[in-house]
Amino acid sequence: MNPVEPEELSAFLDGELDAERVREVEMQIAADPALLRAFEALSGADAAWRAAAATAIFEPAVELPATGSRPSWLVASAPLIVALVLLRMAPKLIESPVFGFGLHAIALAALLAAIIRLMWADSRSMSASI
Amino acid sequence: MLGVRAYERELRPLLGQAAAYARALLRNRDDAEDAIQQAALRAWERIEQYDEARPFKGWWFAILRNCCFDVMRHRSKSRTDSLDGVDPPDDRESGPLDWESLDAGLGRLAPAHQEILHLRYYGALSYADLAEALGIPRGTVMSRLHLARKALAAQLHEEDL
Repeated sequence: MNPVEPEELSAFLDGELDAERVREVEMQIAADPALLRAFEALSGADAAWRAAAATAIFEPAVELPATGSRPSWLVASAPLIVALVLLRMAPKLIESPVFGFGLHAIALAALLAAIIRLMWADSRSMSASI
Repeated sequence: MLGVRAYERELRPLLGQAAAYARALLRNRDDAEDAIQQAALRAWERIEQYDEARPFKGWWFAILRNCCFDVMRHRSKSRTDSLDGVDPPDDRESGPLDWESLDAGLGRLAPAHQEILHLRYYGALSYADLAEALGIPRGTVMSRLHLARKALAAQLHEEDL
């Protein structure tokens, strides 16, 4: 059995050792009065510091993003990208003024939808309170 | 990737300890709330970077720690810019509070020791969380925390004499 290292005493106190090492440390503390005193001093100080630190706790007022409102910029911008591609390609693909006008109208509608979606996502992003 | 509800579920139980940690670091309740608010939103903006195999608390506290440093920088700039040079009001009462006594002892330690003890005692971070928040191996957490505790005990003992 390896002797208890000083830092292991801290880890033992913090419950951060594995089960086998915990048993070994317990046995050594029981058998060694100096180690027991060291552990008790550490344990007492730790309890006092934890109690002191706990007096700083308060419940902060924090606002989180609203459910489902997280702005996924790629998704929100997709109609905008489609609109720009259509506007760029339209004169080359369709020579008919009627089809060209229709295509431009669809592209502009997509553009407007993208802008509205982005504005909506932005306005909702900080609206849920804890 | 965590959804907003899962993020809130993970975050909500941490807020009291986060408040204590930020308050001890910034020594001001309002500043602590500002830092926590910033961290809550900044972490959500970066949620895609969070690896769910790693401890959430350590990841989130690393962000909170940076937000506290941002608030400190902003505060010291505000003080420099202010005409009258008056410190912003804090929430200290006439008698010393328990956590302030602890903090007075912590304030005289090496920065690395202060840092790990702040996270351990105010934030109640586990060793895995400490390793994640500080970006150090678990073994280093164990030895640094032990040395920090020894230094704090010596410091408080010295003050008692």
